[in-house]
Amino acid sequence: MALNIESDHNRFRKIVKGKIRENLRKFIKHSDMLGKKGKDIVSIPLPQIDLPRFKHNPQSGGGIGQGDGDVGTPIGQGDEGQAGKGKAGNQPGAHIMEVELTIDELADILGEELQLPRIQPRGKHKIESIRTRYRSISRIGPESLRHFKRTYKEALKRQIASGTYRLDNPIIIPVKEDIRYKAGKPMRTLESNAVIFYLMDISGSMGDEQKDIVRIESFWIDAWLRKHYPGLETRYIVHDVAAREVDREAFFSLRESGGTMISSAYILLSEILEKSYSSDEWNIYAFHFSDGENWGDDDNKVCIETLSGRILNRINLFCYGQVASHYGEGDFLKILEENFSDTENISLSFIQDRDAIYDSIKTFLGKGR
Amino acid sequence: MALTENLIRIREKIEEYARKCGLDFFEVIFELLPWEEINMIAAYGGFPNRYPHWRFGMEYEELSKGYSYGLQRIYEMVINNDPCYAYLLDSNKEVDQKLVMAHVYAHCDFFKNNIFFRHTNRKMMDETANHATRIKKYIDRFGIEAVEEFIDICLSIDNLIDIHSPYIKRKGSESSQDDINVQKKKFPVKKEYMSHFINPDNSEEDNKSQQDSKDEKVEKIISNTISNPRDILLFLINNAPLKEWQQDVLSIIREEAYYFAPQGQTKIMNEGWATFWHSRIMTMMALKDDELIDYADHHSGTVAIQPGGFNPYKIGLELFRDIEDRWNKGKFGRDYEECDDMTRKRNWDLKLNQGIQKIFEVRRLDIYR
Repeated sequence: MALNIESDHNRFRKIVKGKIRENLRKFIKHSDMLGKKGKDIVSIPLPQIDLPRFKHNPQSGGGIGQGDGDVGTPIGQGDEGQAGKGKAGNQPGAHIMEVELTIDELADILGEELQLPRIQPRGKHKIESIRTRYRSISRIGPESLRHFKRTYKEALKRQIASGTYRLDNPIIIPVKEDIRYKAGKPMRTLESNAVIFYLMDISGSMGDEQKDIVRIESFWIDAWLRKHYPGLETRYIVHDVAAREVDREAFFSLRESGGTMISSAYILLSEILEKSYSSDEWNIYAFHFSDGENWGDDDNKVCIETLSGRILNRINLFCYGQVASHYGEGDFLKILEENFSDTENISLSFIQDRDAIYDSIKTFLGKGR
Repeated sequence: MALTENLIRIREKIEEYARKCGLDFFEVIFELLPWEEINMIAAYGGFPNRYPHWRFGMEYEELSKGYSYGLQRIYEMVINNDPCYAYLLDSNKEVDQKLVMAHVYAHCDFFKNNIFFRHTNRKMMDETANHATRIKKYIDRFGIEAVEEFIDICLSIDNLIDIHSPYIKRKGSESSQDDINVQKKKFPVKKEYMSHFINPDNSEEDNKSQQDSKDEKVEKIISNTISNPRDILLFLINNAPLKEWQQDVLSIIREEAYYFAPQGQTKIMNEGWATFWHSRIMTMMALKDDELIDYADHHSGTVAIQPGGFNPYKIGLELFRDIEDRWNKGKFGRDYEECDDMTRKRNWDLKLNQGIQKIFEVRRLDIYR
C-alpha cells in the first residue's frame, strides 16, 4: 500500500505556519476541537484551510420570477431551496461517533466551575444586531410552524363569504389556501459591544511553553466574554522593544529575540483606544502576558504613567498575567502591585505553570466587570 | 492486513446472512487496519493512492487528533468499487466487527443497485492511482507550486458539475458515460499505423474526431455547452485557455467530483439502508447472547441525535422502517389515503407483507426498471 500522507501532512503544516504558499494564508481558519481530560475540558487547536467556494445564500432563496402578488403568495411549484446536498460529506459510509459541546455550553461549565460572577456591561446599548424572530405570518411554510388560530380565522372568513357557514352547525373546515404559517422576520436589537486586547511579550525569554499557557488562557477568556458580548472583537498586540498589532496566527507564532520594553505596548494600546474605541460605546478589556522582565526603571515609570493616565480610565478591566520562565522571574508584577494595589479595574496574577491557569482565570474574571 | 482466522469465519457467516436477506453485492475485500492507517485512508477519501495535495494532510490531522483525544473514531469504511473494499479498525471488538461487516454488505448492495451509483466508475481504485501518477508527472515537470496552486483553483469550483447529467439522455450528445470521461488520455503515437495497437479501444471514434472539420468542432462545443449548461467544469475544459496539463488536471478533478457526488446525494438512504440491515442481521441472526449489551450500546450511539443535530443514519433508518411497516400492512393507495376514520386508519392492516419487497424497490430508486 502506497501511502504518502506524511508528505501531504508536512505540506499542510508548512502552509499553516506560513512557510510556503503565502497566498493561502488568508483562507486559514483557526478552529478548536474540544476534548475532555478527566473532568476538565481542553481545547485542541485545529487549523483548517477553507478554499473559497460558490455557495447559495442561506437567507434569501430569491431568484424566482413571478407576476403580481403579495409577498408570501405561494408559487405553484419549486421554491424548495437546494435539496440538502450541502456538505453531506463524501466519506464513504464512515462510522463516526462524536462528543459535541458548544462554546456556549463550555462557558457555562467554566462559569459554574470557577463561580464566576456575571459581567455587568457598562455603557448604553448602542450596537444594532439582527436576529430572526417569528413575528409575522406567511402563506407558505413548514407544517411545524402552522398557525392554528390564523388558519381557522381564514377558513371562517372564507366560509362566511361564500355562505357555507351555518350558525346552527358551526363547523369550520380549513382548506389548503386557508393555512397560515408563522414566519421569521429579522429584528433589530440593541446590544452593547466589547473588544478584547491581548498583549504579549515576545522577547527571547518567552518560550513555547509560555506561549501555550497564554493560548489556553486566552481561549477561556474569549469563551467567557463571548457569552456576555455576542459581537466580541479581539485584537492582538505583540512587543519586544517595540510594539505592533498583529493577527491571531502571528500573535501565537511570532518569536523574537532581544529585549523588552513594555511601555511600547501600552502606548500603542492607548493610541488605538483613543483613536477607535470611545469608552461610552465600548466595553473594553485588556490582557497582558509577559515574563515580567522589563528593560529598566525608566521604562517601568512610563508604563505606570501610561496605564494610570491613558488606559485605566477608559477600560472595564486591565489584567496582567506574569508567566514563569526559565530565565528567572521579572519584577514587573511587583511594580504593578505596589502602584495599583487599590485600583478597582486592574487585576494581577502570577502563572507558575499550566495548572495555575485555572486560578489565574478566576482572578481575572472574578471581578465581574 | 488480511483478516484473522476468526474474523474470516465471522465474515463467511455474515455474508451468508446478508445473502439470505436478499442483499446483492459485489465481492467484498476486507482489510484490518490500525487506527493510524485507517485515518490515512479516510483522509484520502478511502483510496490508498491519491495525488499529493495538502488537504489530505489537513483531513488526516483532524481525524488523528479526534482519535487520539478520544472524540471520534472510524469503525469502518467501505469503497464503491468492484470488488468492494472495506476497511475495519483492528481494535474493534468482535461484536463490532460483526456489526460493521453487516453494515458494509448493505452499503455494497446499495452501491451496486442504486440508480445514483449506476454510472460511477467501478474501477475507481485503479483510476485514482492513475490520476496520482498523472499529477505526479506534472509535478515533476512543472513544480509542486504551480500544480498545487492550479489544483486549489479547481477544487474551489469542483461542485460546479451537473450532478444529474449521468441520468439524463440528451438529444445529440453522446452517451452520458463518455460525457464524464471527456479526457481519455491517449498515448503518443509515432507512426500512424501503430495507432490502432497503442490506443485500441476507441480508435475508431478518434479517427472520426480527427476528421472533424473546424466548423463541426465549434458546433460541437456550442451544442455541448447548451445541452449541458450546468456542467461548468466541462465547459472550462473545452473552452478555457488552459495548457494541456491544466486541462488534464481539471478533468481529473471533475471525474473525481462525479465519482463522489452520489455519496453526498444518497447519504441518508445509503446510511439508512446499511443501518436497517445491520440491525436486522444482528438482532435476528448474528448476535450471541453475551454480545447484546455491547451491540445495543454501539447501535444506539450510531443512531443518536444530538439536540439540534441531524443524523442521516437515524433518519434513513426510520424512513425505511416506516416504508416497510406501511407496505406490510397495506397502508398505502387510494383506499387508505381517503379513509376518514382515524381509528380505522391507525389499525389498518391488510397483512400484505410486501414491506421487504418495497424497500428493495426504494433502494434501487429506479422506477423504470
